[in-house]
This record gives sequence, structure tokens and C-alpha cells, in this order.
Amino acid sequence: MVDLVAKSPLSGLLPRSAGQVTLTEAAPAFISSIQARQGKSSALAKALQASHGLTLPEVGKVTAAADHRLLWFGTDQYLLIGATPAAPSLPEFAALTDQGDAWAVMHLVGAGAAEVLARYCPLDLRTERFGIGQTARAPLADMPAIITPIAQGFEIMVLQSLSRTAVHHLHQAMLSLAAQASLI
Amino acid sequence: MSRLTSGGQIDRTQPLRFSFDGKSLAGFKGDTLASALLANDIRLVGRSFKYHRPRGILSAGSEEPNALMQLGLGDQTTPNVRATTQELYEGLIAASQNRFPSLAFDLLSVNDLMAPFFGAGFYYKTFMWPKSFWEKVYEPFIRRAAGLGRLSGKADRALYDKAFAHCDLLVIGGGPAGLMAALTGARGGLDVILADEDFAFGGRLNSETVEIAGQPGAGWAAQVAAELAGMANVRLMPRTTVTGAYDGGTYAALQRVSHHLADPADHLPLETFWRIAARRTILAGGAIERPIAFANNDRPGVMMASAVRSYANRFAVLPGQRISLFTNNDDGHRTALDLLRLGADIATVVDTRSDVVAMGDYPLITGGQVTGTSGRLGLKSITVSRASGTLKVATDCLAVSGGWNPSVHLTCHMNGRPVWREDIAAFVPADNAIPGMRVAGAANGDFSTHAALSAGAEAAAEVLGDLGKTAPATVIPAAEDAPIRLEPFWHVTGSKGRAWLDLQNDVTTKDVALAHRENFRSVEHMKRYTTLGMATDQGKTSNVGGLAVMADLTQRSIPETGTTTFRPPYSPVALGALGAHGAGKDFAPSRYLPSDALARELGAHFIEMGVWYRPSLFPQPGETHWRQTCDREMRMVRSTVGITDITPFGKIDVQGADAAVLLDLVYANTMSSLKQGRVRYGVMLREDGMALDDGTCARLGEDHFVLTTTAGAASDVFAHLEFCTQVLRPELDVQFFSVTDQWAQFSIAGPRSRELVSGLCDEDISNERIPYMACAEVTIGGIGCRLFRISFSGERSYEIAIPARYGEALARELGQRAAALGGGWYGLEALNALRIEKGYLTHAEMTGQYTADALGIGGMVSAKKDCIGKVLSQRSALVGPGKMELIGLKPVSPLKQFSGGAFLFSQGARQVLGNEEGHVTSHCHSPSLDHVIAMAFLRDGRSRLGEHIIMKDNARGIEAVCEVCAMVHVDPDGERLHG
Repeated sequence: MVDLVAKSPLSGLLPRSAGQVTLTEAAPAFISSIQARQGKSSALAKALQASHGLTLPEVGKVTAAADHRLLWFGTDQYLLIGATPAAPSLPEFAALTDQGDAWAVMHLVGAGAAEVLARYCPLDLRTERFGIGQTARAPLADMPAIITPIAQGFEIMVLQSLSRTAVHHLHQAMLSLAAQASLI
Repeated sequence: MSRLTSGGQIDRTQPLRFSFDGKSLAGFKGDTLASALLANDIRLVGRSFKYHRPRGILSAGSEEPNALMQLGLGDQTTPNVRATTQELYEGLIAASQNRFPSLAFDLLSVNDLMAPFFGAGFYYKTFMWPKSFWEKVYEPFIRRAAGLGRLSGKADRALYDKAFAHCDLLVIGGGPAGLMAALTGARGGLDVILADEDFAFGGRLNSETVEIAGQPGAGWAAQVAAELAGMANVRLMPRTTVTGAYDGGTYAALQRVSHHLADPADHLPLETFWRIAARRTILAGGAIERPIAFANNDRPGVMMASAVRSYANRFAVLPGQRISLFTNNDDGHRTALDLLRLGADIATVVDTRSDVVAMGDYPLITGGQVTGTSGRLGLKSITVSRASGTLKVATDCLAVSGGWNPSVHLTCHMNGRPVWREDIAAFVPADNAIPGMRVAGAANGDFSTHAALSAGAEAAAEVLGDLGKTAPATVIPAAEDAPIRLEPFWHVTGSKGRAWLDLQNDVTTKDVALAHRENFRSVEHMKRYTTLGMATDQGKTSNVGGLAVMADLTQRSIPETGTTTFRPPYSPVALGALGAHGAGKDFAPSRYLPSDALARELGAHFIEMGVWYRPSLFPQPGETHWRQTCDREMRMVRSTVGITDITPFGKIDVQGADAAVLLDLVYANTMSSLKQGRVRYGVMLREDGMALDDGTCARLGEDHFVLTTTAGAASDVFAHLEFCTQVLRPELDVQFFSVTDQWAQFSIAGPRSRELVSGLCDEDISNERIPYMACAEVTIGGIGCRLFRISFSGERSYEIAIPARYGEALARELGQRAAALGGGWYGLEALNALRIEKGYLTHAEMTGQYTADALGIGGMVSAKKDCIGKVLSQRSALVGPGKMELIGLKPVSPLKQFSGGAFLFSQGARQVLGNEEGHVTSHCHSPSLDHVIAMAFLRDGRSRLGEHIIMKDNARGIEAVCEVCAMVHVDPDGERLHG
């Protein structure tokens, strides 16, 4: 039997740091897309509550349990992060796809993380506007991304094939802002 | 030295060396290049655009038309830097522009003698014939003779940055009004951004001797700026010019990050281009003093009165030994008082008004006009006319004040037209010209310090109210509240010599008169005819003067004459800043294959397909031409086994009870009849009947499909599906999600492909279990994979999809096993050529301009059901005689290569546009046939098999006779696919 070794799309690219900002890999064990079947949103909500202790997040929101989270992704679309969709009844109410290999997940953390992200992302990143419990699909330097506030920074998800470009841009901004921090 | 021994806001403990035109000079930190030049008694700083007239520093701000410098040396030199805004730093190298061989002796100043021939519109009239001379002779000459700085012609290596910012209140301008607005807003709890183009906050307070709350204005400004800097809800942005106002409270701003540094650190950008989204904005951009036009008013030494005060008060530089003033308002007198206090020698103050008295101990000429000047490279004297006669006054600096124009520019960026205010003889912003923007202070015509402070606080209080906050109790600090006393006076008439309006573009009052005479009387026509206001300063010191002259000529009022349109940017923005983050490879994101690292190890050549980097060739030692590699790779696939990474193909997971209903709607052929575990080739049409994309559809379960799309159309197809389910058939129970990046996918093709794949899979993949066009879930090394038996090469072929994290490992395994079987990797060149040999469509045919019928797959459009695009694909022009049909081409006699895009002509037809009957789309060399082949669209092509036709490519000079043939050149019966 062949022995295939898994490799992260961020392998060899991270961690990076400059100034007080660090960019690290934060690959969760599992990511799944969950899309409610026609007219089954509330049944899905109940099933997820029962199986994962999570309520369906509103638009632009995240609901979280101890080690897994549910991100709003689109109308009746969610990403379950950190756990596999456990309940056997779930497919009755939702279409599921495995997304665990599709995304590169990074944490941009530290004083000035928002300034780094603001180089490429038009979102209003002020904490009171975009804080923990929120999430957004937003462009990051012409790439589709999912930006989610976390403690002291942001979780950034990009398609795995774009990870090199994303790291390149974020690192450039980290270096640039570290240099600018020393200006009066 | 003209530097005063004390005073000013320069740091005398930090002396700096710099050079101008090769001469080493000294200045201080806190100087601008302009103030440092004046401190070194340098008055001649440049030559004018058209006539190469000697020019000096006019202003002390971003409105400067004259003092434009070439900064730095070599390939990173920057042209057209305004000396008046450039901060001095140690080792700064500046050079004057538009002169040869030197600033004091400029050969092209001969243009000035030719001025009668070079008036407005001269080149429209003069350089008319012969026609070809415009491009070959006249234009190059004019471009050489006229101009400002020069680019190096080398790539700009400087770093530029771009960023977004959001705030409740954006305050534009950090003078008394702006500081008060920012302070009030910030104390009221708003997120405030305060931007000012200067490096020090304070605006005119830094240049005037006014007091605020009993202390010098500049000190008060520094104190407020320090308070603001300490507030967490305030972002101070010095050196930042807000350059444009756009929809939705969005503003563009240019921050000069490191232009002021002698030795910028690595990674430091030169400039940052900001997009600021503000809920509310207060424009407190101040006002710009306007000149008075009189004969020869462009000599070095003629300056704005406000600039003279700036240099004297802020930079401790007297711009002349014996200074005179020409004014129509009280500001001229203020200048005299300031200069007296600093011990300067005042030659005279000329006031156009008759009813004024001197405010101090200086000579005053009332009811006077300056009618001329002398001094070729610098002012020596002025001629003053008054009721009692003409007088010549020796002076080396003339400070001019014609009143103030509020900086209305930003309020006009969304089509607002400024409003004339008779009492101050100036345009002020129209109300609500920009949604969400208030205007305060001098920008709104409130010129006194007290008025500016109150207006700033008041505007911020209104904003706080708007945003549901309570305005803090604000005490307006005590400051002067002098009334505006001004008698409009625009230009001196009746004297000899040219009176300059636009110093940067060399436009005089006579040019405006010429425009009027030739009936270019609308201000917009006058502007374009004379080029007034069209230079890099956008006429900040000349527009109003120009239209005042036109108003006189047409005997209309200034408001009747109207203004030209101010457009962004307020001041020049380097293209490098606009293009920040987009230089070189950063222009677009790059997507990499799971097997990318391996392909690089193997020395593959890469090609960009969309944003994907894909190997085009895997050259082997000894291969010197791409065709050798491509032919070898093709032979390898046809004889043993070849592998290639096809991850970029779009993959869309479709589920739901109505999944098959949706697929029957979007695919021209029927998918609902597809059996589980089977794959079908499909084509989608756009609503207009043209083919959108082709790909495969695999049925994994009763209600579960996976579609593949071509790499380039993945997002188009996804968007199309979203449109269909959200707009056309929202009632369908269908869910779909992109899984393109979830799966790494490889094609294994060739007679020995099964040998390779069966050794890998843990399951039986015999032909009985996995026949052609079957699919199945398999495991490889315990990893769940999907296996598809589909082919785009015409050979027995499998596609394996594996979770992307195992992509590289599987690629390595595949490569080793293929090598053991005499096979290996092949690239995109071979992939495409293999397709062409089989007559399979490529992106060159699937352009969105052809129907399924034209593509030769019309039979796939099901007769039994409707689908998107079916009706419109049957329009008469698309089905009648003469329609385009895809066919194959082969050469009649030996041909080196076909030519993509070459036209096809019938033999004997004249080879002119209109007679062409089709064109070549894809072509390649076929190693199987040992000659070149092509695919082409040809009118009624399918009924012309065997016909000889001319291929003609005028661009490449290729012409050949070819034979129309079937598209399938290899294994026409498809036997290799089965079994």
C-alpha cells in the first residue's frame, strides 16, 4: 500500500513575523460546507443544535462551541469548522461537502494586525464594527477570502491554491508597517 | 544669507546639507526645499513650460506653479516635485527643470522672443501640413522644447502602498478650523481622521503672527495636535493630501510616507494611496491667495504676500533685501507689519484702493498699480502708476495679494458648482455639494481666525448631532476677527508687456483675449484653447484670474462667466501609488498546483493560464526545442502512460432532490438519465444560444453530482448556476458548492494507464468494474479518492481526485510509477496538441461566440427537453446556409505551421476583408501524422470536406493551400478509449 503524506498548503510559508504582528498557520482539523435543503432551515437548525450545540449564525455572524464553530457563508450556507458534521440525520436537512483541504487558514495577530489587513481588505475593521462573533467574505488583494475577528487579530481563510500569494502580500504589508512604525 | 538670526519653526540644532543644480547648500530641519533655497538667496529656480522664461518661487504651498524640481539622480529620479512642499533632508539632490544648458543661460529661451508666434492655439494653426510632419517633426520638437521634468525611462523601483481606512469623521485640513473640528469631534467620541498636506499641523497659523488664547497660533496648533495625537479615537495623517471625493463618503488621499527621509529604511513605502470611507466629512482646506496680473509679473522675486509671510514667519527667511507690496486688501498691509517687525526694509506698499491709510511705518501708495517690472533673472525694480504719474521703485521682492480664493476643489468632484460671494469677491462651495460633507473656515469664506475656529467647532457639533452623539461644551479660544476689506482687482490693463495668469502653462491675459476674439468664450473652451489651468497645478493660482479677464472681455459678471470643472486629483498622484500592490507579478494573484513543487524540481517550463501556473513542458536533457519535448510527451501518452495535473478544472458539487432538474436546464444534453457511477460529457449554453462551457458531469448518487468545468470558465459557470437557482428556478431543491480547491486531480492517460492506476488503488478497477465513462469512490493508501474514467487525449484514461493535502504525495507516487512503465509527466502543450489530434474542443473554439452546432456538437442539444439557450441557438442566421462550422485542416503540401487566427479564403477569391470565409482556431504538429494539423471555423465547413482552401495570415506573412478534413485525426472510432 502506498503511504501518502499530507502537506499543508502553507507548509514552508509560515510562520512569519514583523514588528508586533505574526502570521501563523491555524489549520483546523475539519471544515465542511453545510447548505440547508429547500425549506429545511429550521430542521437543520435543530439538528445542529442537538448534535453540535450550535445555533445557525445570522448573516455575517459566527456561533461557537468549545472547539468548533459555525460561520455564516451565504444564504442558507455555513461552514462548520473544527468538527465533522456528526449527526447521521444531517444530510436529510443539508447538503454537505468536505472543505477541509480547500482552505488555507491563517491567524494574523498582534498590535497593528488590522493595519496590515487594511492594506488589502476594504472592510471596516474597527473592533466595534467588526468584532468577535462576526465574519465576512471579503476581497483580500483581489482574492476571495473569509475574514473572522479573533483575539488580537483576524483569522484569514483563502483558497489553498492562493496561499502563496496571500502570504506574500500579508508579509509585505507586515514588513512595510513594521518599517512605518519606526517613523515619527 | 537671507536667514534671520532667530525665530521661525525651523530646528537650528539640526543643520542639513543639500544640493541644487550641483551646488552644495545649507538649510535646517523644518525647512522646505523652497525656504532653504530662499535662505541661500536663490531666487531663480526654473524655466517656464513654453517660453523658457526665468521663474522663481511664487507660493509656499501645494499650489506652486513655478518651483518644480527634479529630485534625485539616475534611474530613480522624480520629476516635477514642488519645492514648496518638499521637506528638506540631509543629502537632498535637486535640479531645476526645462533648461539647457543651464538655468541662467537657457538656449530655448529663444522661444520667448518668438512669443508672438507661439500664442494660444499656435500649433493647431501652424503645424498643419504636410500631414506626416505632425508625428515626425513637429510633435517631437514641441515635446523637446516644451516641458517640465523628465522621467528616467527606467522602471520605478520605489515601493508604494495602498490602504483602506474608516472613520466617523474625516477632517480635511489641519488649520484653525480643521483642528477645532477634529478636537470637538474627538472629544465628542467620534473616530476622527485628520489629514493635512503639510508635515506640521496648523495651516496658516504656522505662517501668521496671530495669537490664539493669548499664545502664538503655531504654539496653539502644536498643543491641539499633541492632544489629538494622544487620543485613541484619532488618527493624525500629516503629509496627506485628500485628492478626491467620491460616492458614499469615500475619499482618496495620498500620504507621502518617506519623501522626507534621507535614508529610508527597507520596506518603507514612498507613498501610500488611501481610500477613506467616512460617515461625515468636514472640509477645512483653507484658501489660496490669488495674484494680480500685470506686465512681466512672472519675474523671480514676484511672490504671493502670504508666501512672503510664510517664509518670514515660519522659516525665518526674508525673500528679499528690499521688499515691496502690491495689494487690493488688508493682507498686504499685514505683510508689511510682519516684515517691519522682523527688521526688513520695505520699499513701498502699493494699494489699488484710494481710501486706505498705512497701518505702520512704511511708505504707502494708494490708488496705485504696478504696471511693469525689470530684472531678467530676478526682480530689480517695479514701475508704479498712480494718479500723479509713474514711479520706478528699486526692489528685489514684490509681494502680491489679490485676495483669497477658498479651496472649493473637493466640493466640485461630484459636479457641485461653487457659488459667487460678492462680499469677499470669491467662489465658495455650494451647500451639500458632497453628501455628508460640511465646509468650515477659509474654505467656506470665513477668513478670520476667530471665524475659522468657531466654524470648525460648529461643523463638528453638527456632525456629532447627526451621528447621535452629544457635542461637548466647547470654548472657542480668543483670536483676531478682522473683517475682510477688499476691493476686487484682477489685472492691470493698458500697460505694455505680457501679464501672466497661468505661470506653469505660460498663459497671459493676451491669450485669454485671443480666445475671446476667436470666439472660444465659454470658460471650458477658453481653458482648452489657452491651456489655462491645465498644468500639474490645475490652475490653483490662475483659474479665477483667467475667468475674471474673460468676464471683463465679455462684459459679464464673474458668476455669469462661471468656472471650469475641478476634477480629482486635487494635486498630482503618482501612477505608482495608484498601482500599489500591483507591480510586476503582484498584478494578479497566482494559483499554484498541488504538484507545483515537484514540477519545479523536474525543471518544468510554466505557463500562466488565467491565474494558474501550469507546466507547459517537462524538457528532458538534450531537448533543445519545445517541439521536441511536446512531441515526445505526446508519443509517450499514446504509447505508454502520461500524467498531468488537472486540478485547475472547476469542480462543482451539486446535490438536492432537484439536482437533475437543474442540470437538465443548464446542460444542453440530458443529465437526468445519467446512471449512478457514470460520467457524461456535457455542454452548457448561454441564454443567447452560444456555448458557455463544456465539461463532464458525474453522478455520484441519486441526488449527488460533480461537474467539471474548463479552468478558465469555472467562476462563470458557478455564477451562471447561482443565477439559475436564485432567479430562474428558486423553488428547486438544489445545493451546490465549489470543491475546486478541495481536490487535487490528476489525469493518467495512455495504454498503460490502467496498469498504473490499478497498482495504486486498493479496489478492483478492471474494465468490467470501471468501464469508459464510469466513476467510483476508491481508496489510495487508505485515503478516500474519486476515480473517473474519462479522457481528453483519446487514450484510455483515468482521473484521480484526492484531497488536496495529499496532492503532492500522490503526484510523486504517480511520477515514479509512470517512469517505471516508460511514461512520465506531460505539460499543457502536449495536452492541447493531444486534444487537437482528437478534434476535442479547446478554449480557442469555446470563445462564447459559437453555438453548439458551429462547434460540431449540435447533436448534444437534446430535442426532447428545453434548456437554457436552446431557443436562441436556433435563430435563422445561426442555422441557415453560410453558418460557421468547425472543421479540421491539413496541409496539401509540406507546411511548417498553421497560424492561429489566419483567415480562410476560397481559392481564386480576392483576399480582402469581407471575402474571408473563416479562420484557424487551434493548430499543432501531430507526431502521429508527422505533419501539422489545425481546427478552423469555415462557412458551411462540414459540407466542404476535401475542398482546397487558402489560409492567409497577413501579419505573419503565411499563406498556404490546405485541405478541409474531419477534425478527428487519431483513432477516429475511439477504440482506444474503451477496453
